[in-house]
Amino acid sequence: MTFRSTSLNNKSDGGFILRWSVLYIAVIICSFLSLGVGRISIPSGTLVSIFLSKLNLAVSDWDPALETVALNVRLPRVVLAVLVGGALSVSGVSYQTLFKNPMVSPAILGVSAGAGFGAALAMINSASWWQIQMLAFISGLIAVLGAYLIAWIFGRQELTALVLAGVIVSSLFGALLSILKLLADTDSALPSIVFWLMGSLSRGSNRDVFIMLPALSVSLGILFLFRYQINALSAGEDVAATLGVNVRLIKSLVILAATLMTVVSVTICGIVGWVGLVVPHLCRLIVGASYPRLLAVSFGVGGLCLLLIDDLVRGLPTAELPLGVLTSLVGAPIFVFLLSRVRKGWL
Amino acid sequence: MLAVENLSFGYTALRKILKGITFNIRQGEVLALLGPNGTGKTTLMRCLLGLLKPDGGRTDLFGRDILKLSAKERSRMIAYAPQSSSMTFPYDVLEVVMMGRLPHLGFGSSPSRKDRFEAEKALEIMRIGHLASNLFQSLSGGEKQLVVIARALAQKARLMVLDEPMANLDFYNQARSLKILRSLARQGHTVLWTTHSPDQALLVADRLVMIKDGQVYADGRPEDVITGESLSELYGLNAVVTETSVISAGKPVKICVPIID
Repeated sequence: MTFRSTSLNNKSDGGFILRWSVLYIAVIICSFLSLGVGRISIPSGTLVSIFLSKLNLAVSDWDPALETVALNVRLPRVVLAVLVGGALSVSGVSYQTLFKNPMVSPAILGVSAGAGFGAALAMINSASWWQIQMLAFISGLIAVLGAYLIAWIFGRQELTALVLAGVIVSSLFGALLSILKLLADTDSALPSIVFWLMGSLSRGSNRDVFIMLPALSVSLGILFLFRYQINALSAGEDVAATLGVNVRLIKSLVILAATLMTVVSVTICGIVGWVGLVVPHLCRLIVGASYPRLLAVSFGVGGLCLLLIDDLVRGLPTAELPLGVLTSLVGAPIFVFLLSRVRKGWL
Repeated sequence: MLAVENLSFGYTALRKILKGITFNIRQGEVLALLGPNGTGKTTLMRCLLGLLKPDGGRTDLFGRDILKLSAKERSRMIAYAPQSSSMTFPYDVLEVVMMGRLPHLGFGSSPSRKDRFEAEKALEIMRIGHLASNLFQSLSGGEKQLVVIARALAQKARLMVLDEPMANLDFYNQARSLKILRSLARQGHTVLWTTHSPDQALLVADRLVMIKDGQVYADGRPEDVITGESLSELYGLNAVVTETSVISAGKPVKICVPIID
């Protein structure tokens, strides 16, 4: 009766560390190769020489434009793809474990809806890019605070109340966003709102990387320190409490860390769906349900997924398809495959 | 070691579930809580575990007020096996039992080889070592219950609180779990266990507390407390307790039979 994908699931610590290392080496190699992908394709040999020349180990004999494209345009974008994909996946894994609910995604508490509204509001007022990001960031946080507040008014400690509150806040901000779309100038503001909502890494810059890194380090640090407490929460709040977990504190910390990662991701690249929902399930198939292990692999798997999808975005001969559209196009069939793998085992 | 004094609790101010409960457990005792459905046994347990904050009265564990202990301190003193348990995600059995080692983990650190050893030992005590790598969710109700008890064992707390641990177990596993309760007590553990079976309480409990309508109805040695009259009164039926010539757990077995007409 037991479902066990023996080929994928190796629980021994040594096996796990090996897999973990292979995963992150793959992330690094793919990131490097991704620098060559795009309208101007750069062979990997040239990429190696460009990096060596930075260390004064090679002499430049290539078009300097290639160097600019690889290092100034693509490098931040590639790094951001990995960081954003990783951040969304980790926050998805954390929310799913906390809420004991496989349907939960990072958007559950209304971050995306809130940020979408904020960005649209800024665009209608023809704000600059950093003002758009700022407003998206703030209203994303306001949405989560709103959800928290509503759950608090319900007066229950239950997580279900919080999920419901998130749904309420999301639909509220969704409605407000629709009003803004109606009001928006159809020639300039509306297209940029629509494009933002579909997600894109094309405006990713070094500055974004430096915004992302501290937020990510703090969040991952918190989640890492409390990984076994979060793990225990998947057995239910009562059991966790009798295992010595300060349930209220851990809940708040998980929500804080996941929200921070999600809101920064959304701020940088708009709304990218599916990664935070599908990657956690993909990871469970590889390492099982244990949160500490999921935390360790989901960042890499998520980063790798978004990196490859963004490579598709850049590499396809057509006009750049929005990132969010491709994640859904790729994510949906993968999710169906995952469902068929796990069958009635646990969903 | 555990002293409960005048404990009262109600989810609403008007309807009290616990109305001034007083009893205590001595170290090494196996205490069974017996009472009809809905009389507050589980609520009482949740108060003892610090999951619910009582409206009045106090509970002392080793002379310390249980509400003043941190969750972590409490988890090292009391282990809890709930009545039913489910895991949404595909945890395997060993991972579930390893959760019982959480009270002993240092801040931010991973379980050590010793923690793994303790978890495996707990599985062996419950004789379910062969299930270690099975998915928890694929187990039968009874097997899940054994795993949950193993998790409580792995916690290595001196007081074990078990909520109807035999409810889903077959005849063999009930007998085995009763034996484990006894041997835990011999090793210095103290066991508090709720049950719907006066027969089992007679077999292994040192003490029996009967709860009726949120109050202690009777408290004493099972063979003194469990009588035809007390059971008839407690459950509102006609019951008879008879001593047989069968010897089990070192004493003549008494059986409780409801009279059905």
